Amino acid sequence: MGSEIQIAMYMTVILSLYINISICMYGVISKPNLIKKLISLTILQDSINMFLILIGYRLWRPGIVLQPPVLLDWSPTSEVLKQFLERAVDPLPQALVLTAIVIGLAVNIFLITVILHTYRHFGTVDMDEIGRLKRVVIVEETA
Amino acid sequence: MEILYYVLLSMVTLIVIGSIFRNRVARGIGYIVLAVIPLHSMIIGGPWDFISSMLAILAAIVGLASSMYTNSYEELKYGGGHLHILIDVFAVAVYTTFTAMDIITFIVCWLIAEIIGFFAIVYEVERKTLTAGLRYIVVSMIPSDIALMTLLTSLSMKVGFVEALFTSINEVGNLLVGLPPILYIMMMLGFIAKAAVIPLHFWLPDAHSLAPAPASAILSGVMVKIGVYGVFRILPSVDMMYILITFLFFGAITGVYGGLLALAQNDIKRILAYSTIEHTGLIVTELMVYRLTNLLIPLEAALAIVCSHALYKSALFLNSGSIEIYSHTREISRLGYLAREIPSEALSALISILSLIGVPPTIGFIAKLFLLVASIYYLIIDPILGTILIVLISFAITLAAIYSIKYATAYWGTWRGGIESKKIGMDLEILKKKLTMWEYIPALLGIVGTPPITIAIITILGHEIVRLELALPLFLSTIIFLAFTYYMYIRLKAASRDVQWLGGALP
Amino acid sequence: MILHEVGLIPILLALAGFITPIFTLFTRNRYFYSTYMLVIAVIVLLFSYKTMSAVVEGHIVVYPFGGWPPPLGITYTVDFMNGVLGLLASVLFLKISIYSFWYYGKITGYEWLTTLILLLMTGVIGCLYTGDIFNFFVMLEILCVSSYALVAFFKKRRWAIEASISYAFIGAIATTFFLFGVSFIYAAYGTLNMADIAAKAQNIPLTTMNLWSGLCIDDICFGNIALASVVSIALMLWALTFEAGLFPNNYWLPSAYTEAPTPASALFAGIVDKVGTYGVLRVMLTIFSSSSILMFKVLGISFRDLVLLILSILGMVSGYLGSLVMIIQRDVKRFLSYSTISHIGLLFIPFIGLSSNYSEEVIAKTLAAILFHSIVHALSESMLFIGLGTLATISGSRKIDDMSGYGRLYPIITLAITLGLLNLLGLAPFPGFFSKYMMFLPMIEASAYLQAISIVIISGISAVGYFRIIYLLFLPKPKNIQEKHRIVLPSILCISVALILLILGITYMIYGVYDTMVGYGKMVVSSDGVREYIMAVDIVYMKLISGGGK
Repeated sequence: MGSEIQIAMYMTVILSLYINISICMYGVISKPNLIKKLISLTILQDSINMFLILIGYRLWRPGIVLQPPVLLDWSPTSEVLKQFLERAVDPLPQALVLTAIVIGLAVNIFLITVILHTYRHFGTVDMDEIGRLKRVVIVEETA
Repeated sequence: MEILYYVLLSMVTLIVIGSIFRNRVARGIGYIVLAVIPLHSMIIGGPWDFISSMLAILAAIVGLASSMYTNSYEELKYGGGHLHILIDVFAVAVYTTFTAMDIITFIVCWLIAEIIGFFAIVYEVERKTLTAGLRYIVVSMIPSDIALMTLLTSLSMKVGFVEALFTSINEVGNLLVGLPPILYIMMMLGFIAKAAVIPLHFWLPDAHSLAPAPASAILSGVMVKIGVYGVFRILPSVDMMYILITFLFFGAITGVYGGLLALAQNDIKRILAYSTIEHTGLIVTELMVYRLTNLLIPLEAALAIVCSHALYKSALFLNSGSIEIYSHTREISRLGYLAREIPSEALSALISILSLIGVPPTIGFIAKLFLLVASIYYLIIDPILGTILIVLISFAITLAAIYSIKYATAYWGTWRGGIESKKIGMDLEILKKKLTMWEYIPALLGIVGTPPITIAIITILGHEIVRLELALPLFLSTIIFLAFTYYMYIRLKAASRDVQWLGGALP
Repeated sequence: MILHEVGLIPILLALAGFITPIFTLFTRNRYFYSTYMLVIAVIVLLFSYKTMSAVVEGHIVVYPFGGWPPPLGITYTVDFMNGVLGLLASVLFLKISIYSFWYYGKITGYEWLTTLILLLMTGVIGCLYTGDIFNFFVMLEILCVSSYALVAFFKKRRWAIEASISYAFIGAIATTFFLFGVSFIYAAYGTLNMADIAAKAQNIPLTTMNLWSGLCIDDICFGNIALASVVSIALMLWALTFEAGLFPNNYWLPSAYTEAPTPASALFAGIVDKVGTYGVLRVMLTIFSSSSILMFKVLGISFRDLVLLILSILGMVSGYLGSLVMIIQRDVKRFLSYSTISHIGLLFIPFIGLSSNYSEEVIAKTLAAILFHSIVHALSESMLFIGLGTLATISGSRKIDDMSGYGRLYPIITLAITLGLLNLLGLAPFPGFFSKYMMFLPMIEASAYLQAISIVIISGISAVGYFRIIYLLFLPKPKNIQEKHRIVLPSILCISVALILLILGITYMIYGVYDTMVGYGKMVVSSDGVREYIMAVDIVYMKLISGGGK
């Protein structure tokens, strides 16, 4: 494959991730419904995790045999290891992403629970209405 | 620290404890000893120089009068309450600010005095007093805090952080030379905001007129002098001409402004408040002239105005408190019969008013004399500015005379109310015993203290113009003056019993 | 030097936090949970005191977790800046755990409150002590999730749930974007260790960490580090100022601090916003310091100085906003949270003194001022939350008017509250005056007159609000005279904190605390100090190879 096509594909992936992130930001901030906000937040977290994995990605250079970076030897010699390392992707971002996924899981579970409680208290999941009620309370609390 | 300072602190504690237990004797002893300590320092020698000692004695005297006055005032006006603790702590805080020996004590006591001043202003909680207190915080407290912080900062830029905190007050002026002018402007603006000079003067009329009377006496009598004291301390280091001339004109314009507005007021305490603005403007003007010309006469003028103003203003504020208690109103248009009803009050007010107008031999006369002499000296040195200055100053002095007569119409005026409101019916003897006698302390000191104060100012500043030919006429005129006022008092008492009385329409 | 206590603290706290739900199977006794939290707090205090004494002797304490050398493993690096804040966090935790003996009698569900507070402290201490930027993200998330749960603790109150929702959504986005920023740093620098990033950003040659993370040649490490640094600063600063509560990120703060339970509010106002401030300081002072890659010129001034100037202006705006809105509040905890906003603004105003065109003297004084004001504000604001929260609990309502006149019924605690308010106002000889003066001084030396005057004006405007509370507590007669509740423990706690503050102010003058703090500040901010920070992490590999030790 020509390197321009590789670079173009890479750029497309990154651009699509950015568009994804901006649409999610729009969703979290502008949509009044709490469930839609939550869904946008989930997709946002996933896009950013995907971006992080992409950083560890290593473009295959031409001339290498088209093989996935898998080590088939139980006790490899240093030559085999060197060849493996030339093809392997960076494992650290994958560890980071695992952490981030778990943290995102905790945050999302918490948010879902709180949305449930909100529905039970207010009877609606529309942030605009809740905001209106809150403004009334704040105004009568001050001055 | 000096042994005198420990005595001072123990007296302060005595006053505060005596205040909590409402004991008059303890407080009286405390204040008298507090007045004697700086006197001792002035005459024999001690850690405080002349100006600190004089201001401290004034603070002690005003504090004594107000504190004793407050006991009866709060009973008669509020039916109890804790005003006396506030007044005592306030007077003591102002006193310790004047006798502070290093910068950190000065700043701590200044801040405490400011905060207690706020609580004194908002003692009766209504919308007016809260607005006045808010204006006090924003226009007077914040600029003077900026000035104090700038003072500390400039000192620590010169001598390092910890030494700056413990610098002696007397050396502050010498240490502060050579700073960028913006720092001087910030410091001077902050201090004159405390002293209520244009452009940061508009907090004073509401604040001083809405506070309870003894608190106004301390506020007007000695607390605005704290700002003047601060200006005095940093004055030796300011040598930029444009700063000095700007503040000179601020002071002079304040004098005229205060006088003009005092004429238009109907509330007796507001007349006195605007009069305070006028006098502090004159004091600041004279300090600037002193720095510009390096003569001693302007400094003596400033000190004399400080002394006289403290004494008669506090006496007049206490007097207005008594008027308020007796007749339950503060508007001049409804008063005017008071000389007939309460002659002892009228006499005390008469003495203070004569001092305000500047009749010899009161201390007010000495102050105005020095003021005019200093202006003439300045006229010789700098004709153009001197001419403008002397016009403004004489205008201010005249206005002082006019509005003090307006205040006097509360006693000897044409009484315009109906007959019913005349019969308030308070026992004169109780009034005299409880309230009036404390007003006489500052008022009489205004007359009796004239020779010692004059001689003290002149000699300690080293002017050496005291001669026997000058002292003897002063002494003689004091005796004549006292005889004359006593005669007036006897006539007043007689006049209140029969129909003939001095001036005004018959009710 | 390598100290094991540094690593033990977050592990101990996390373990204690996760074990607590198991204890709920056995006991529901409230004294058990309070004692449990107190024991953990005392141990944490001892450990952080030991760390701090090692830092004060001049070492920079580094702890590589698991024995892995940096940048392969995560290290916790403690110098003066985070040592002092860590000690402050443990002191606040101790205060909260003493208060919990009284507070747990008034609420239900305290075992979960214990868990959440322990997890919150894990996040706080982890954020403060860590030397690895991804670990900072993880600990920040732990802190944030615990604080979302703490705000929503009283789940029967609708406004608590609403406050938690509005906090949690934007908090989740902010921390996700923090991760985004970290990913840019990793993409360009190839490492996640703060010291390593600092060395690469400032072009300081290293000995051992290069073996693992590669060398940088002329602005390109793995990628272009200049652009990556700019983007990551923008993203990370958003999350950090969100947590700190700087305008315009502070819309969530009043509702969240109001609805959280009192010990949690005290912790929030005390240390959680300082974590955000510390993050900004660490990023701007150590990682991207004056000689770093961020100094390229934009619009005539360097980019780093532009960022500091903008932070300072935002600090002024939030100071004014906080103090102005504070005056009209009727709810006492909302009042205190706006007071916190104005003080955080005051903390951010001196940031302009950290610019590179001032001498190191001025920068050191600014840092010392920011740290000292953090300490003073944390102690007094948390004490105010505890005191006024106690009064709110026993009067049954959070409105200030319902607590009027309580000064006569409960004099000791009201005296402590008054002293705390006067301290925040800046009355000498309380340390509040000295901290404001310490901030004023370098502003004047740096000719930033607007900032200097703003500090005093903001204190003056807040005076109005504070005086109102003092007046309302003391002067009117109490409205409904019920039986006096017993509040012995909170009274003793609050008055001892007030006395500690007074003693701090007095010893400040006598013992030259200022010079020591400026000295330590110099150790942190000077270029030698940053270099020492990096080198201390660098030689850990050598120490580990030569047999792990001091």
